[in-house]
Amino acid sequence: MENFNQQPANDDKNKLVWWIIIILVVLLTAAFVVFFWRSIPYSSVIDFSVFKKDSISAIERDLNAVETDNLDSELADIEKEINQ
Amino acid sequence: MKLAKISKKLLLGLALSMLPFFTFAATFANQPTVRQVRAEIQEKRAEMRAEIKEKRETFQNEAKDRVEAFKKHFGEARAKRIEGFFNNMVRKFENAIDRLDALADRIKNHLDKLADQGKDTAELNLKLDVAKNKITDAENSLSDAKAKFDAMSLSADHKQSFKDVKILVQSVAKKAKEAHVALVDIINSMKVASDKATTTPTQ
Repeated sequence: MENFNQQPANDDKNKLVWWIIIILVVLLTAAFVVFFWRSIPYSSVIDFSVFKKDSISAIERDLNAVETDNLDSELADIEKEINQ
Repeated sequence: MKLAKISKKLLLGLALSMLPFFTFAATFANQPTVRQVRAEIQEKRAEMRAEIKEKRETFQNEAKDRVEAFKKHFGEARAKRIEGFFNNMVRKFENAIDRLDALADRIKNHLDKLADQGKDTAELNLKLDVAKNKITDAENSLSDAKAKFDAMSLSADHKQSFKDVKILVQSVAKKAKEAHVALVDIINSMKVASDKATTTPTQ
């Protein structure tokens, strides 16, 4: 008779443990979602530039292609026009 | 009764154990992350670029007025040539400055990725800041040179006014070169660092 009464009590205990686990998981997931959502930039969810391959040698090549000599070469032409 | 007591204790324990986690989450949620700081910097740079673009367009729109003013002293053909030469030169400068600026951004992206991988990029970031300041200086000096050229068109002494314009333009050229050299220096340092990282020590 005693064993018969103990069975439903054990079932209740198990159910409660499962409920606690479910609540714990839900709370942890919610906290993680809030934390993650607040930490990402508002302007873009995914930074696509991360996927672009831009090696140092590619930057170096483009940098070497920038012409910084003779940028002011037209000064002589303007001077000539003014002094005519 | 016992079950109710146990469940109460369990729930209290659960609530207490979650408290530090929520405190931690709330504290860090209010602090700007690296990504947020980067996004803010990008936003500020975009605003600065829009401002520069507006200034450049204003200068182009005033070209007709300058030619009219130059015409009074030099005649139509010479006035157009003077304006044309200056505009060509300005376009070359703007193109070089824009390209250097874009390259500085690409280097910054590369450094950010390296930093995300846990590499120490502090020294290279400092060098990049110096290079970016030189690019900004070049753009500001170019704006000054354009303003001086605009004033030159209305000046009574064109030769003297042009001397001032020339000094400013030469300073822009110098700053653009310095910015270029600074970026090359960073790239060389990055190459050395990446070579070191890929070379395994042999004994």
